[in-house]
Amino acid sequence: MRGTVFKMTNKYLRIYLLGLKNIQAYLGEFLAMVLFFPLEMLALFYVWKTVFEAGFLTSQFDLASLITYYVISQLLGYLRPQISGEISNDIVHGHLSRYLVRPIMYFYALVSRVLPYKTFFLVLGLIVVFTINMMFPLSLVITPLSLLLFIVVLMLGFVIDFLFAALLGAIGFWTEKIEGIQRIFYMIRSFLSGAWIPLTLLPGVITSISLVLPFQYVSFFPAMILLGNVSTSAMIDAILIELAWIPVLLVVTSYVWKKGLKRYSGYGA
Amino acid sequence: MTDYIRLFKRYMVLSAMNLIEYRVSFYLRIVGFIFSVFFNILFWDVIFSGISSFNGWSFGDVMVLQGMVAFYISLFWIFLRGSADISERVIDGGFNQFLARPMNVLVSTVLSEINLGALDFGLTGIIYFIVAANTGTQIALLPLLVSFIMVSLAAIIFAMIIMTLGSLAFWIGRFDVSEFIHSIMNSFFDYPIYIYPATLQFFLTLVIPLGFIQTFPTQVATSNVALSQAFYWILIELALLAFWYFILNFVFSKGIKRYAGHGV
Repeated sequence: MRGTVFKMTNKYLRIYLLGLKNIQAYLGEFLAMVLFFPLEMLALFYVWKTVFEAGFLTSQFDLASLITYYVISQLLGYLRPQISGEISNDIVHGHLSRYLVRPIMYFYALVSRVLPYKTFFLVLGLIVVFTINMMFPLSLVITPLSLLLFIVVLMLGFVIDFLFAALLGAIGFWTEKIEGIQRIFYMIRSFLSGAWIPLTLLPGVITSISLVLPFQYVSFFPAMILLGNVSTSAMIDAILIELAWIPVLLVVTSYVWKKGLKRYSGYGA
Repeated sequence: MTDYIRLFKRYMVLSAMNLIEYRVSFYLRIVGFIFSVFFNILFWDVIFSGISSFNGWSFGDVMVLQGMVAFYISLFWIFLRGSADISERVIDGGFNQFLARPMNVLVSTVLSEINLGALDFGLTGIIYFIVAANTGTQIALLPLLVSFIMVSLAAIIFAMIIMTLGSLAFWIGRFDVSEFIHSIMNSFFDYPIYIYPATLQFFLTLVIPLGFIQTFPTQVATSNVALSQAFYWILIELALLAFWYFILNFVFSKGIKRYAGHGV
């Protein structure tokens, strides 16, 4: 039994290590992150500086905390598993067959494929954040407990995000062109996750809608935790809500994939 | 000249046929853009709910600026998309088909990538102009036309810059410069350049022509500056155009001598 588990883990570990070796293929993206992340923050800094100087008042944010919010939420944006395009591509071009005929789980392999460069993004992102912090002190309020709960909230948020991506990618079973649908989904998700503007600054109805949906757990909520704006009980509530979303999404996703796989045809592996 | 017009028409027809073939995808993209416009308007609405002016700009002015950006993106991706492919063609031997024709290689390359699919950006631009007009922003026809000329010139300047940088691939290999510079511009696209320090404003005007793409044309279209100022800006754009035309031709003509490809 232990041997089987080891063999299975070993397979995915190899995919992960292979991904690490191929990291230079993403050099452009890494370079883009190192350059554009600070530039984006620079632009946002001047935008919000102008806004606050013009008399914008909010009880929740001052300029420093708002910039901190954007730094965290944008960094998390880079770490998100945006893999629906990859999934639909595998389906449309028949690459999925490679996994179906081998003793390997497609989704585990996909995670192992994505993780290496996301790990690298995390390391680079932290260096960028550290550099930003040297020039513009961020107003982070971190305790060991909040950091731990932040990681749990974020991990579960990524699982939810991954399941949404798997669902979205499955559209590839029915149609070849899914860019349009993906674009709409990612647009809505990005806005309702608080990547454009903190959700609590939005008009009442939209804030209410966004706080019911799980998208906030990959951007807005974790950022608010690190800003020290969330109580421990609210963090635990968030974890429970995420834990409720995951089985629902799992059931829907596996149902859609089962239906989709019946339509799937591919040749060669 | 007639040859270029014939070629232009041919590529337009091909692109239109492609668009019709994938119309569902096109419509979905439009829906996506409508969401994007809605969220962007919401973003600015939140900001203007707490302030009356953004560095002297009204909500309507900012909407016109968003419209100018959409107009630029539409223009660039419909007519000038091919300018982004220079380095790829250098590496993959993609100039062969154009070198075999009695036509300018760069013009043929640019024309070959006409893509009417980017019309959807233009549609979002119209939405922004309508929103601006509804908030009481005055947009007169002549200033609007002048501002469109400014944006068009800026788009051509930008295309020349990325073609020049793309031509460096003759010496240094693949260099995906278009996406690179567009990503830099993306960070600054939605805001008037006057909110930045003077050095950054200079960079965003004369190095990357962002000011000529959105800030200055908006000021002209909303009649916040006199038309004489617009003509002064157009003169600067023409000077930049001449400068980049010279540099591009110099770099490309040197580089193409190093080019090797096989088959047509």
